[in-house]
Amino acid sequence: MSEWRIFRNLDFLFLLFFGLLLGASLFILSTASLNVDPGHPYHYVKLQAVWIVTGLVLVAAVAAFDYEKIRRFTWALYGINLILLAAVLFVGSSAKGATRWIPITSTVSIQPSEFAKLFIIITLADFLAKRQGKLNRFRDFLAPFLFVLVPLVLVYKQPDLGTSMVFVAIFIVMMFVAGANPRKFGSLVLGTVLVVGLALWLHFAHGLPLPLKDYQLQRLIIFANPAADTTGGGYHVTQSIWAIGSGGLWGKGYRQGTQGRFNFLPEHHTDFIFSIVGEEFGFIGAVTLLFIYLIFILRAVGIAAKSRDLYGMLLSTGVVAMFVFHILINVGMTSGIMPVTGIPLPLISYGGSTMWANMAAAGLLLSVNLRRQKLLF
Amino acid sequence: MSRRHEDHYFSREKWVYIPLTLVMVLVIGRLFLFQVVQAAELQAKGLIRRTVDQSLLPARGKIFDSAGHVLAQSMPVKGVSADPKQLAGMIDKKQYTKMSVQEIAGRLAGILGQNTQSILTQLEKTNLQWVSLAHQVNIQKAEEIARLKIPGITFSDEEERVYPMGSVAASALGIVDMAGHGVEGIEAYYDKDLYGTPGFSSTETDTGRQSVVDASSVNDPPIPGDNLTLTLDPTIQYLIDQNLDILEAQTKAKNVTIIAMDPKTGKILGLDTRPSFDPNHYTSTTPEQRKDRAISKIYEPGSTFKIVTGSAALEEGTITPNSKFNDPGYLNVDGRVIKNWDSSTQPLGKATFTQGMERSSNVVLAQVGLKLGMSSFYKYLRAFGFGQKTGVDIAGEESGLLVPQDKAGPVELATMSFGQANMVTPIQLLTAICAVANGGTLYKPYIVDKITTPDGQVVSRNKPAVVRRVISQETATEMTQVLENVVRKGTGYLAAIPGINVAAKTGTAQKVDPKTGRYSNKDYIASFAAYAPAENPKIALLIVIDSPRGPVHDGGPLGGPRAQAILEGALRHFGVPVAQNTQSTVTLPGNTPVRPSPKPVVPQGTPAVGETVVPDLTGLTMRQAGETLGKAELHFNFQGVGLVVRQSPAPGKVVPKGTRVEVKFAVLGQSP
Repeated sequence: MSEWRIFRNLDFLFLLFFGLLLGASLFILSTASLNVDPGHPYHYVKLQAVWIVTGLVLVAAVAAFDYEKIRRFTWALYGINLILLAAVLFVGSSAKGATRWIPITSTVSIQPSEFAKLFIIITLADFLAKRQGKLNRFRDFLAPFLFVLVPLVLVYKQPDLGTSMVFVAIFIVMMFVAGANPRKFGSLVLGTVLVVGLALWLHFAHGLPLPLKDYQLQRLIIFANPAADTTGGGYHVTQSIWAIGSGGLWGKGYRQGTQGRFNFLPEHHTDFIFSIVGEEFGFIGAVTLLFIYLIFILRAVGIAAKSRDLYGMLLSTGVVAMFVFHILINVGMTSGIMPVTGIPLPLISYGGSTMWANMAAAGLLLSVNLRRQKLLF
Repeated sequence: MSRRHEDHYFSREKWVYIPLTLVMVLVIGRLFLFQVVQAAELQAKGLIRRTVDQSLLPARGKIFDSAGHVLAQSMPVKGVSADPKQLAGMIDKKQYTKMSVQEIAGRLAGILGQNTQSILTQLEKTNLQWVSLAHQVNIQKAEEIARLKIPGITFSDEEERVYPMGSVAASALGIVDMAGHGVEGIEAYYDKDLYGTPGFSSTETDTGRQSVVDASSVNDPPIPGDNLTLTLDPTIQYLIDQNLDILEAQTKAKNVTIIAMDPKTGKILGLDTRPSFDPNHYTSTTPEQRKDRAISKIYEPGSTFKIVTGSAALEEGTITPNSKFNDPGYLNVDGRVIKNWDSSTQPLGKATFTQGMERSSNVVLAQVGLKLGMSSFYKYLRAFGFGQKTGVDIAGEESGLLVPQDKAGPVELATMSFGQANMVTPIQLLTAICAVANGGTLYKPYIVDKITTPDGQVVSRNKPAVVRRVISQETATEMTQVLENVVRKGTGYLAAIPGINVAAKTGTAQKVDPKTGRYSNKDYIASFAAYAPAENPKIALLIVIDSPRGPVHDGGPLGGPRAQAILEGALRHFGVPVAQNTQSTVTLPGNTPVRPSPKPVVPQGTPAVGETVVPDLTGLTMRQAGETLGKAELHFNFQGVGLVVRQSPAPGKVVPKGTRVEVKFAVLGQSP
């Protein structure tokens, strides 16, 4: 069958490192989630395995689907995305000060912001691909910006500063890839960063009111100086740094960590899972995980570079941007280089929505990979 | 083609690799800083945070009576406290979302059996990092609270002291405070033995401060306290408590105290006081209510003290048991008139020392004291241990109060000789009497027989401790014979036990009215000291009845029957043969004037409205008889002087209220 010829294009190294990450997720969770549900030490590992197995079906389905055909559904997907994000604000359930979940049953709920990143990538790729070569003036940047701004505001309202930041990162990367005038767009980005920085400085130094929640500002302060409050707001970061630091070069060993197991480290099976890696597997383990990510990302960049058209390239670079910023924000947060924003470590942290969204994103990369050249018939 | 294609769409490769490399360098550099450069420092910080150091309360020793019954033991319980600041912080930051403060207060109040509002008030003190919620919480309830995993809730080891026998000897046992230290009585005196050695633990904990199983910890386990075995004999203690109850009900006295000792060793065989308290619920009592009167009540002993004066004079040879004295009913000393204890009795006239003791003549004893002389009197006062603590091993002992020798003149010497002016404690007086009983040796009283480890090894044992020889064997024997006569022929006759020689002395002291500073004619301290068998005493006891309310306030009639009951029971317990049916075989010497006392009346029938039962007035003085009849709402017609010898209608008759009762008085020993 001619259809199967496309599998010659398959990037096995990418697939291998994708598999390594999924395996690492289960392995790390088997120690990190040990005490989360007392009496059921493997509860979260089992659930994660379910998400991964069902996620693999999703990966296969997305990979098999010709990504070009998604373009027909751009506006439908954009609409679904907005509806889901709006639904969160109206029927969502709260946890820890934010409303991010839509309850499906009493125990299952989905987190639309995880899927929203994927929807943004898919729809923005089409939106930008259609504007190829027409992104040279400042005014040309406005439409794509508004296109991203609407879902971004909905996510920000939840509030989910971390995901909003990922949106911005995806937008910036995809704009460059789409051929936005580097000088003009670059200066715009730089200018915005400076304005935001100035606004924050004015806020802290002179009390300029900002549309940020108290806890978000608090996290920014703590980010600047985590030692200021080790039991209150700086608790997460301080505990995470102690966990990582106490791991040393080789780590305390599998299931030998204490910061997570004794609940000093909050969210240690989700957002702060990297701290457990640092504590139990040390510098060597943490760097190993980072290199697995690096190779995975580099292969993804390779896939993007070899995509057959701009749309495919935008899709894959969007996915790469999403992964890179997720990893950067998460690892940065656990090691105190980024403010605490509460986003998971992709393909490792526990969570059905995040796992499915990230696996679907990998499926998208595979779809681009499999169709890297125009078939000659 | 591929190459050109890439260049077309992806000419900005360096913009991919440079940022990725920078990010990797930044993150790995950060990890290197924490995990390699600062690793040791960060690890130490984490450890400090996780470990909770605490002192571990050792199990407090038990207290047993001489037969091994538990009088006091400890059960581990918990103190519960909260960190309102941490709790509020975690709820505010949504780090803890399971329950609101109101729900937490409700759950805790439910488990602790407290008011929700009062718990809530404590938890809302959010500027505090430590508030106590409850003390003495039993282990099950504490575990129930621990399972709620409420942030900031901590537990401390506490002990609940349990006294299985309730109020028995409670004042002597004392109490233990919340910190587990004895603060009164034996619990305080032997606290360092009972308390044990605290342990220390440094435990790794989770955020709920729950100790973590299999976590590394420094552990220096506490060493449990040692047990005490008392000299307290449960049989004698029972007899004491039983008779205290009788006295309390009968006399309605302000307080009553009985103490019993082994005269040959100084062992305390039993002691107690009324009113008593339940040490299991001591928090609702005052220190005054818990006071161990046996060792801390200071009072003017009255005639029981004559044993001391007499022994001193006999020892110094200034008198013999048969020395003659004149008792006209009063004695003029330096212009002050000294009267006998009950001026309504007939003066003895010419009497020997022994007879003076039998009848408890103040006039005779004042002369004995004056004859002995000031310096000799004080010498024996000190030798018998007055004015200083006996050193009994119970916390809270008082030393009594002596008239300073340089302030004492002949009047003071005379009054001191029959037991007024100086203040003593029951244990001082009984210790002194024991010296007479045992042949002249003063022993230091003690209540703890031995200290043992929890597994029964003897740590130390208290041995009888001789303080000094006070009087010779001969003097002691002479005095004992005098005291036997007090029972055989005198005021102590109610303590007589057939077949046993009982030595005793009664006492009736007027109390000083604190308002007037003069002796009250309303408040008395009735006392009774006795030991038996006189020639080989197994037990000596002292009964002190403070302010008996009723027609009778004398030591003889109030204390005699009680002393008799305790002595007889104790002697049976010690295997000394005692004749049966003692109540009816008590023989009253026919020709010896002995002051009789009223007996409880058996009413002839049930009095109807407006009727009353005629009380027994036998042996009462005119004033007492008048008071008694007044209470019974009867009129009276008195004839003669002295004590009541006859009445009509007879005791127990039911008559209409207001009936006139004819009462005949006569001087004791004279036929009316």
